[in-house]
Amino acid sequence: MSNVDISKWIFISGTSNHDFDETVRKQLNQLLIGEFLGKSPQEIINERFPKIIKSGSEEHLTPKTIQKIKDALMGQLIEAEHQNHIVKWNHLDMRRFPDGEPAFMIYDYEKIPGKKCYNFSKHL
Amino acid sequence: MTMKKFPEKNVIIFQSIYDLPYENQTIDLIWACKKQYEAKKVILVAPFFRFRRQDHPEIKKEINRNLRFCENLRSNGLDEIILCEIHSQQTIKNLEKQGIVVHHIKPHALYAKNLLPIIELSKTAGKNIFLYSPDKGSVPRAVSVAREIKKLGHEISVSVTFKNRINGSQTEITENQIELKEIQAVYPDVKIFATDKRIEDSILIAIEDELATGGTAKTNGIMLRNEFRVYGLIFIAAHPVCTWGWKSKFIDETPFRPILLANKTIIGIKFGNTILRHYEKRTKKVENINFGSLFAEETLKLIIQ
Repeated sequence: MSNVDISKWIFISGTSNHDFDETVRKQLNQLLIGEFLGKSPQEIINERFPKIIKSGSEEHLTPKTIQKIKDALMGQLIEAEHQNHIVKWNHLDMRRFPDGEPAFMIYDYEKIPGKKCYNFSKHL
Repeated sequence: MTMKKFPEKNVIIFQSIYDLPYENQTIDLIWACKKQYEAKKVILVAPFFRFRRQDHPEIKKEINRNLRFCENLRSNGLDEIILCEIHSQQTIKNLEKQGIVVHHIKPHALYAKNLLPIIELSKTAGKNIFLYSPDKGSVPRAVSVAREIKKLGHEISVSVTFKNRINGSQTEITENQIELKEIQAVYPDVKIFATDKRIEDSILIAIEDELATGGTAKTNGIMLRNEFRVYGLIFIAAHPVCTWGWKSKFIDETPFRPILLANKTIIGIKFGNTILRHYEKRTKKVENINFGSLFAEETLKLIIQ
């Protein structure tokens, strides 16, 4: 098990491209779990669920559908077992004065444990 | 005494800087984390970086906004930056000159992986496939992608177009054998040839760092279709800048239309997702290449350092 100390890192997502930042966050979490455990979440799912079949049917699932099921299982695995090893979002308000001047804040800055992402929820 | 608000903490800020509000917000966040809360280190992940063109110290009449922005980032507390497929090396030089550590991501291996099924389908369909460089300046990028494709077990050549300026904006295609030999000597491991009849009925892949208006790419594409009767054209750009009017110029009647290969339809325009766009849904002629894994890997490297 690797000794990556995620608690020393703070992640802030600006308002420009949340979709992209979220993609990076999810992939980073998979890599982080891989670093912690020495094997990726995908490998863990493959070990725990070696065969995925459609219940009560001989019909085969497409590789794309199987991957979607595995991705959902991966999400559950991360949620249930690796909450402390991953990067998360926190939502913030995006303040602005009536004249348009930006006034967004980094709330609870002292309490940030170091593995949270700040996600500005509204566009500038 | 100032209380340390982010003691021993490193901060990573994700921000694609393609507009003034994002530039200002980035500066605000960097300054707050470093100067106000005294973070140990501040790292900016900038999938797209502003002022990429205004970086020429030799053009005195131009305000060197690239350098100004790099200085601004440093003076507000930036320590490191992750960039992607940057327009020119001058941005990296300007950042490093300020003492900012630069990590530059090149998506060429990702392109190779994305292109692999197309290369295999073109073989099944009996079509030649080449990388295309519209001028000698784009050769290094095409060669880099060719090398990545080679690692995946396929040889692919690069077709480069040499142009002579006749008058004003008019150009003609020439066969510059001397220049071709010089280029080939620099990249002996990849076959490079001057655009000629070999590309007839083939599939060409053009790779650029960005798409702005799309005017030049479209003109090149139409030329390749009309003069060389190519079978299909694929256009890849990391950054969909897409300035006003790009859709009518580039998408409507595009030469990079979907290609039918061995009964499969290949989308002809592929954009990276470094700038927030949803053109793949709006136009149905664009496909996204997800750069997320590249940035996740680079971010992880910084964390485990």
